[in-house]
Amino acid sequence: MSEIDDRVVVDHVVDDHVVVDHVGKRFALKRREVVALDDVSLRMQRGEFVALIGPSGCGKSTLLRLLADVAAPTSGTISIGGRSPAAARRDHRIGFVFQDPTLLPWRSVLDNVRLPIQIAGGRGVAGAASPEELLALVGLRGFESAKPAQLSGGMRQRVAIARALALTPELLLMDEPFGALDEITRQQLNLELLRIWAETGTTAVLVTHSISEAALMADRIVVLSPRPGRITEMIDVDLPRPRTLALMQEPAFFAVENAVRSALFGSVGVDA
Amino acid sequence: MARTARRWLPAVVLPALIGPLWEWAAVTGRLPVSVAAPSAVWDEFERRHETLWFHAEPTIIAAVKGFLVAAAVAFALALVAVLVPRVAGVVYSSAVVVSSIPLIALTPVLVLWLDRGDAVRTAVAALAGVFPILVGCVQGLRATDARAEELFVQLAAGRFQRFRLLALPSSLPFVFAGLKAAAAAAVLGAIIAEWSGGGGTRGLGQMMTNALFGFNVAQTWLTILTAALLAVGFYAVASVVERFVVRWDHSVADGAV
Repeated sequence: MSEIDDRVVVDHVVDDHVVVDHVGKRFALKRREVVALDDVSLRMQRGEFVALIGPSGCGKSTLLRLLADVAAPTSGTISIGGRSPAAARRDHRIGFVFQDPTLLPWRSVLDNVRLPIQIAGGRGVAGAASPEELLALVGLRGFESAKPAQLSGGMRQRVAIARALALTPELLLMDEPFGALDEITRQQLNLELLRIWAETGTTAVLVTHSISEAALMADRIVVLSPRPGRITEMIDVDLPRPRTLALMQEPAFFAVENAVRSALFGSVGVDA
Repeated sequence: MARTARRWLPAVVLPALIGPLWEWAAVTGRLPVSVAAPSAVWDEFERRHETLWFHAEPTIIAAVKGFLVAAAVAFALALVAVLVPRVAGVVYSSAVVVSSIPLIALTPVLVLWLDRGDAVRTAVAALAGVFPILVGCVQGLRATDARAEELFVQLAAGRFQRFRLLALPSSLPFVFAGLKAAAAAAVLGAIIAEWSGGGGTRGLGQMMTNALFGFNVAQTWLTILTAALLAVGFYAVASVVERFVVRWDHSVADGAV
C-alpha cells in the first residue's frame, strides 16, 4: 500500500499521460451486482509500457475497455492527454488490438490496415507511416493483396497491430493480443511489438495472463486481484532495453517474474 | 481442380446411370404409361423444339422480370426494416403472411386485377421470389459479427459507415442464398401463373397443361424437364454472379471474423 502512495507523490512532478483516478465499474448481473473494478488509480507517463496482469475476473480487460471508451466507468474519472477517453476515441487517438484479429474477411490485408483511415474520413495523420509502411513494419511486405483467410493466426494478429497503428495513436491498448498463439510465434511477436513500440514512442497498455510476457515487455507491471477488481501491487521492471530473448535467462529477469508471482499468489504459493 | 471435378461429377454420372435404366424400364414396359421413355422425350424435343421455344420464351422473360422486381422490392423492404427498426416486425410478419398464401390460389385474383398476360406472370414470379430474398437480407444484416461491431465502435465509425463498411458486406453471403432460391422460385412462379391461365395462350405452363389434357405423355415430360432445367439454369446464373461478388471465404470464422 505504501508503495502505491509513494508512486503518486513521485508522479505529481512528472508529465502524466494517462491518469486513472479512483475508478470503479459495477455491472448488474441478474439482480446481483458485480464489482468489476473497485477504486483503481493509476498514472502512466508518456511513452511508458504498462502490463496489466491478474487472474481471470480481476477486471484487467474491463480497465482496458474503460480506457478505450468502449465502456464507461461507474465512478471516478479517466484522462488521456488531458481529455476524456470519449474525446480521445472520437479523435482516433486510441489504437486497440483485440484478443481476436477481427479482420474483415472481404477486405485485402492492405484494405484492413486502411480501415481506420477510411473511417476517419480518408485523411491519414500528417507525417504518419502509410499502410504499406506499417505492413512492412510488422513483417508482412508482399502480403498486401492477400485475404485474411489466406494468413496464419500470427500473421492476422500482425495485421491487427498494423491497423491499430494506422492513425499513429497516442495510446495503444492490447487485450491479450497473443493469447491464442503458440509459444514460439508469441515470443517472436513480443519482440517485434517492442521494436514497433520503440519506433512509434506511443504509450502502451498490455493485458496479459503470462508472467514472462509481462516481464519481457513492460516498464511496469500492474498486478490486479479479483472480486472486487483492485490493484494489489505495482512492480517496476528495471531491465535494459532493447529487451532480447537472452534476457529471459538472466537472474534479474527471474527476480521480476518471482516478484510478480508472489504478488499474484502470495509467498506461500511460490514456496509450494 | 480435383475439388471442382468432385462437385460436378454427380451431375454427370447420375443421369448417365439413371438415363439408360429409365430407358430400359420404359421400353420393356415396366413403367406406367404416364411415364415417357427418355428417347420418346428426345424425339418429341427434336420434332417440337420450335413450339417449345415459342412457349418457353415468354415464361423466361416473365421469370427474369419477376426476379428483378422481387429483388428490388425485397431490398427496399429490408432497407426500411433496417433503417426503421420499429417497423421491422411488421414488414417481416406481413411478408410471412403474403408468402404463405398458395400462389395457385392467388393467381385468379391477380388475373382479375391485372388481366391475363405478362403482368400476371411477372407478378406471381415476383411474389415467389420476394420472401427468400427478404429473409436473406434481414438475416444477413443481423448476422454482423459482434467483435467487428465493437471494432467499429472503437474506431468511432458513424451509423452510415457501419452500415456501408460492415453490415452490408457481411450480409452478402446471406443475400445471395436468398437470391439463388428466388431465381429458381421465379421460374416456377411464372409457370404456376400460366397453369391457371394467367399467361394467355403462350407459356411453358400453357404447353404443359395442353400436353397433359391431350394425354401427350412425351410432351408433358418434355415440358417438365424444360421447367426443371430452366429453374436450375436460373440458380446457376445467380451462383456465377455470387462468385464474382462474394470473393472471400466466409466459412473461415476463426480470427478473421
